Amino acid sequence: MQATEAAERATAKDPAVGLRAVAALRRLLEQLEALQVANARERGWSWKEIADALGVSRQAAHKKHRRRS
Amino acid sequence: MFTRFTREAREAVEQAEREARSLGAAAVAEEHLLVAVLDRRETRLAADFPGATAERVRAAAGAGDPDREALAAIGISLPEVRRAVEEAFGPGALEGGSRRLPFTRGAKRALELALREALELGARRIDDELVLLGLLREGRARDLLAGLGADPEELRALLRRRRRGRQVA
Repeated sequence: MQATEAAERATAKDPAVGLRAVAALRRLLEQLEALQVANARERGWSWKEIADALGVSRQAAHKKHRRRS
Repeated sequence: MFTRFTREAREAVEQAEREARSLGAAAVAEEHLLVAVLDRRETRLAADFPGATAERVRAAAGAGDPDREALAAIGISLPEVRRAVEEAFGPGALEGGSRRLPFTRGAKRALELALREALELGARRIDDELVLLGLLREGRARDLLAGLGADPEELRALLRRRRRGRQVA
């Protein structure tokens, strides 16, 4: 764990490391969002409720996720 | 494809799939099969091949997961996130549900080679040891083991010799 922290400090300012982390985080975010939206739909949440929880417009949430649920 | 597999071999393949998922891989690859088979076989192989352990192969193969490393650099543990998500939603939830992962071309090839090993050795069914022999014939599993100081040719020869001995006995 200490080694990991040391590695973090050493690489925190390297743009290549930082940008890769952002890209990886975006992939993770998309996976989590798809999973959570599908779960909410299964539980009967409306697009309006889902959009409010995500902090986006109803249209945006519906457009992005309707194919999967 | 798996109709001629023994229960142990099927379990090893399922374990390989779990291995692939836990690493965030999109498909089951040779290294996942190798880790799964070694995990079951390594105690028997340990005396002759101390380098060929599931843990060491996992470390050598897993080092290449770019997203896991990138997220670790900002303090996020992808395996931890996956574990938490799967606890609530089941295996593979993060990758879109419990559907089966596909096999990479190399992994398919290794399973075909396990079948060929079975034919050559006169085995009616494919057990996990034959899957290991298939992995040892060519491809990435060989390279991984060689990198860990375990000569894949030697390991293959040893397994085949022992197997022939068992069949004669």
